[in-house]
Amino acid sequence: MEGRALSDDGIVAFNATVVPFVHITTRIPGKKRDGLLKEKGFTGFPTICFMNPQGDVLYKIAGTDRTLEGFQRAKRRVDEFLTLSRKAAAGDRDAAKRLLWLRFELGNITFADATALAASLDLNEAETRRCNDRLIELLPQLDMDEARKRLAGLALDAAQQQRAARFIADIRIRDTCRAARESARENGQRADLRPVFYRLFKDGVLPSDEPRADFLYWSAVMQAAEGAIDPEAFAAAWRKLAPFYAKNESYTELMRKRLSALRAKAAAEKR
Amino acid sequence: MRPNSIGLIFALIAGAAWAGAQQPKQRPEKSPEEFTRLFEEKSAKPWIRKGAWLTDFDEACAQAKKQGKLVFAYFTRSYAY
Repeated sequence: MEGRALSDDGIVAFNATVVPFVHITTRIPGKKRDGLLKEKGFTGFPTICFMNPQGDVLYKIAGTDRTLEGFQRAKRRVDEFLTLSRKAAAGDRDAAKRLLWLRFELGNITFADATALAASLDLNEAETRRCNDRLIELLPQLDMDEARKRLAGLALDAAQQQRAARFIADIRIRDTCRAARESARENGQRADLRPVFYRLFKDGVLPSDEPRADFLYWSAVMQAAEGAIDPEAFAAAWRKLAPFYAKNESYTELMRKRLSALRAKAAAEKR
Repeated sequence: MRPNSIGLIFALIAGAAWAGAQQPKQRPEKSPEEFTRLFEEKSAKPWIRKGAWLTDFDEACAQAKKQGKLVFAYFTRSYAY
């Protein structure tokens, strides 16, 4: 991104419409605000977002939108958010409803705020369903107990309940992964998540894969499956990962060969 | 660059990132001086001056308030293994 979008000649004009701020995490001991990335709830590099002057994150720009045009599109959405916020604050109920949908879209609303806002809006049946669809996606903001409690308070149909269960699985995967990492850290090591994810997979705990397949989970399952001579798990993981490599024929072919070899090895072991 | 090359590069980067995240290995820690050198190197990149990027968060927020603008925040790092 630094060599492309951020070096684009158009970035100068765009940056004049905002206050551009770059934060460089340095790991220099004692450096002021070196942990700002984490402080803002982010976990990886690069991250690019819009904030209000209070430093609240309004919108994190997706990886696919890290272009000058993407920045401009994102800014228009954030400007719309600010306009709707002002109107809603002035008592415009239609604006408040549009604001709710937009905040779901921008991802700058908590589960608690969304339910409170929705409750104040007198949503009709179709809107309530739409709202619940989006609330389900916010479940991973919560810890497991809170998520289950909140879930019980939602009137969901069967399809929504099934979808919610997949997001609950995401929380379980996240918590299991976190526990494994903490345990390894206590022992001065880095966690090997392959057996952790593989065990979850064998227990039927699968990620929601929304909005896209969980790359880390499925990569781990695939590698562990190879070690465990488990071609079915390998194949299941590769089905999820294949779209990431759709344009890479040689890697796809390599995976096919590895799967064939694994199937042959499993068959030989049975004999 | 041909699509296949792009795909291959993506695969290599993704694979390396995954391996880096998963392999239980110890990373060699850099000295504070080395971290400082890397930070200074990164801070001197031409795109930072070109885009008039501020590096002080409090100042960015104060400017945004004064000018009635949004903060456009880019998070990156200067260290790498």
